[in-house]
Amino acid sequence: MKRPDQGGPCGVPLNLLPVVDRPNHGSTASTCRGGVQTWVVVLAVALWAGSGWLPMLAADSLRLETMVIRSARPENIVQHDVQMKGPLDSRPWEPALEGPSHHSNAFVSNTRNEEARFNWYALGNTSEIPAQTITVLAQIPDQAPVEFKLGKPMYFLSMAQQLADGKPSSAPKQLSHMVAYLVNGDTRLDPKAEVSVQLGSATMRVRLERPLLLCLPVEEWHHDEHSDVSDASFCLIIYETQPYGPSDPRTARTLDQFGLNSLQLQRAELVGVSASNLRLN
Amino acid sequence: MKKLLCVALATLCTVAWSGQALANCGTCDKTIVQNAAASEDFSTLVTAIKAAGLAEVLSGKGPFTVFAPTNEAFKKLPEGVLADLLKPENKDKLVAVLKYHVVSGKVLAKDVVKLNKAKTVQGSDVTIKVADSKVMVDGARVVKTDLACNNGVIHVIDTVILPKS
Repeated sequence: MKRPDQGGPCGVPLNLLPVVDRPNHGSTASTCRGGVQTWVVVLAVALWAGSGWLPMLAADSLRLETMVIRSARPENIVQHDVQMKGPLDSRPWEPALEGPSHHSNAFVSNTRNEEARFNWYALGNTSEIPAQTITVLAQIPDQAPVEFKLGKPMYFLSMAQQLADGKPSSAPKQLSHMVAYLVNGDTRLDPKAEVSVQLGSATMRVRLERPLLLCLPVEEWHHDEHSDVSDASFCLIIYETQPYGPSDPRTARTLDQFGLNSLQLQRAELVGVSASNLRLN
Repeated sequence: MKKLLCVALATLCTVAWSGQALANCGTCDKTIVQNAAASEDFSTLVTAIKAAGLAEVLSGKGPFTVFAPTNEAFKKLPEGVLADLLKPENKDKLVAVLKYHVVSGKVLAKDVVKLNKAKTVQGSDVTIKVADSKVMVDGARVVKTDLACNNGVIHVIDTVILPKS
């Protein structure tokens, strides 16, 4: 297994951190003062622009509080096959997982006592996907929608809980397992693009270097368990950054669909930013 | 008719996908007893299961959730206790102890941690708690979880747990 400090598959470095508040689309909709006429116009425009825009209107109460993504050295290395099907797939496929190679935290529900992290598993026996482009809008101020060409699927993001004292929280219903694809093509970025990152009680600004991965929600089958996609419009853009945050490793005890594990987490070098999938071309 | 064919086709596809999802698991095509017997860590447990005459039951359809003590866990028992339990005249006690490690149904780790207690096949409850990042079943620490079997699931524990009565 490729270790995090050696970089991920294809030389992709892997450690990551992000934090950006996710706008509450539902709240925006409910406070719209234009009345029925406004909604008719909005819906007409949405329909005109294509059905890919409609998911933007979906209600959501998730908060990406400080998504820190770090490379991880697991106590138990999981090697397992699962089946999954995402928006790019015409039928389910079955990659071999190995990991967790990374761990990220923490999506928190604004309305319920729910939160979930992701354990990242490297994907084996995958191949390049047919040329696909996708238009996404990152939740970063002053950023326009960008179009990514998607490359090879690299990681499976399995929802996970971190163990401490007491029963762990349930996962927010809006979250799904995800697959991270390499992004190619025009990956230029405003050189001043930054996001705020929460590390413990401290907040710091992290400059985004370039988008590296795009994570899309996937349906998954694992033994007799099946998990569906809750919000097809939700996606994550993973950016390279300079290393940031504490450099001393820390240990996290996590629980995901593959069971308990103890992860030694390294310094972060990536930031994940929530985004909306506007259109799959 | 076309609708029926579509439904039938969709059902077949779903069944096929579900079947494939079991592939390459490593343990999920074997029973709890077969998987325990395949691991050097559970040789004492397998010996006890056979002595108690529970091998057939735990090879049955189930599903069962087994909190499986390792060989090291058995070594923690006071001297002579295991040897006594394995004597034919103490078979009932051995059966009770082993049944205390078994819960009816397939309870994965993600569901175990949501419980405060679970009723064992022996009849008593085991207590479950998460403390200091550890999952505890009575006084035993759960050290490995979710070993999938075709008749249930195994969670590995580091201490033999004993019913109160």
